[in-house]
Amino acid sequence: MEREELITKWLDNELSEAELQEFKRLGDYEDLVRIAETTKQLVPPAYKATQEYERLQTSIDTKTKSGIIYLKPFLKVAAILILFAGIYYATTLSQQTVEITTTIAQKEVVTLPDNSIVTINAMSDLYYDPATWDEFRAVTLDGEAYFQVAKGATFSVETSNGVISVLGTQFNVRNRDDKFEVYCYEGSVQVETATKTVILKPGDRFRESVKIASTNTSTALSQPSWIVNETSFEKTPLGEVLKEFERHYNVTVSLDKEVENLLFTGTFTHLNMEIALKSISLPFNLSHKKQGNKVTLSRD
Amino acid sequence: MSTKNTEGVCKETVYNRVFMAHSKNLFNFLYYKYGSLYSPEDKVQEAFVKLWENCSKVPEEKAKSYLFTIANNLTLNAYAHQKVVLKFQKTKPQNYTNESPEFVLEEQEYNARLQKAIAKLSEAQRSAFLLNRIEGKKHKEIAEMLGISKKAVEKRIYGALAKLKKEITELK
Repeated sequence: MEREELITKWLDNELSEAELQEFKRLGDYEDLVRIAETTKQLVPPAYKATQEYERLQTSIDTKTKSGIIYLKPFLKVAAILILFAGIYYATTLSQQTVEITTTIAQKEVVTLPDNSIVTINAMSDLYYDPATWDEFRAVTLDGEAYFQVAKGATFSVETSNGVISVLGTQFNVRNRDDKFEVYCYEGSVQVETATKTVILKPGDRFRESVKIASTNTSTALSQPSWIVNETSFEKTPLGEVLKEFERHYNVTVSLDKEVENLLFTGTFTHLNMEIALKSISLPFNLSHKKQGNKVTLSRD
Repeated sequence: MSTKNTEGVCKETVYNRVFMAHSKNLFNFLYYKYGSLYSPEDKVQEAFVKLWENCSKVPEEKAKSYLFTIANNLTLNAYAHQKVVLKFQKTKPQNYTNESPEFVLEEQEYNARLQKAIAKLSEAQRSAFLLNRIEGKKHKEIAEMLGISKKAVEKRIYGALAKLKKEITELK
């Protein structure tokens, strides 16, 4: 075997017994072994992996920290953006309107910033903006609410059908879909709709652009009946009455077309559906059937 | 440990595993090849920082060759082909004791001569030779480590041995 091949094999520990004998016969065998064996005993400087790993981690940490320096221009931009966001929030979002919403059969009493008291009937929304309250006492109403307004500057209620302005009084606003009704209990109330402006005196009722002056003072109530868990109607179409009924009891009422426009004058309670149904149906000699959440009123 | 991880080494546990598996080998390799002048510890550190920065791109099984390439290149960048400084620790205790003082002295001299001769080898020869001798690595392993053929490794090691023999016997 070639000398080089022999030595290479020896260095790789691949010599067979016969080859080893051949290798030992090489003239410089002893020199080679000594070099190889002495080298074997050399020890490289100690490497402390655990310590080095800790060192590595700190240098990685500082690297990532120094990386922030490159972000500095972005940080400036970010700071400005945050500032603007803050100003935007302070001027816009913090003035977010307060919204009070009621569901079926729910009534809510709200005290406004000027201590005016609003009682909100079922299925209604009331909004106001506390930030501009000191300048404009204004609320937006969708539904029905009874206002007891504290004395002061003009207080206005905005609805989809018109604006009611007062100085300090008590009145009820019913704004259901296109049905609009304002009842004045105390003081005077100005109602402004797209077509006209009217002034209501205590006992007066404004209904769908028609001012109905109180017939006699005895009918002038001190507060709306729904406050005491009843709803009163005066010459109101039965369809409308039953819609109000649905707001207080979680039911759907179906009604024959022919009786929809009969005018109802009377009251129903919010506390007992059976009695309420009777007080609506008996005056018209209607019979009612109840199945689950459905109530049917019909003429026998 | 041979769980396939192709998702890179960003996870602390994986990264730590890679470090513990390869840092010492990498350090030794750099030391054998370039000596202590280019602070192999720091090159290992730098290579591992690079690995961390690119951790998502380097799968675990590729980490070793990545580290060796990076560390080698980093050292080469600084390398000015100056004389290699090798300072091996005290040699392992010899198997034979109770030797005569003359013998011990002769041993020490021989040792010094050998180390000098090793320092004179080319980087390629030295790293291959020392990986084989000190680490006891097979030629095939070294070939994989350096990314060269087994034949080339054998040539380097044989060349190293021949050169060392020449140096040492000449001085005798």
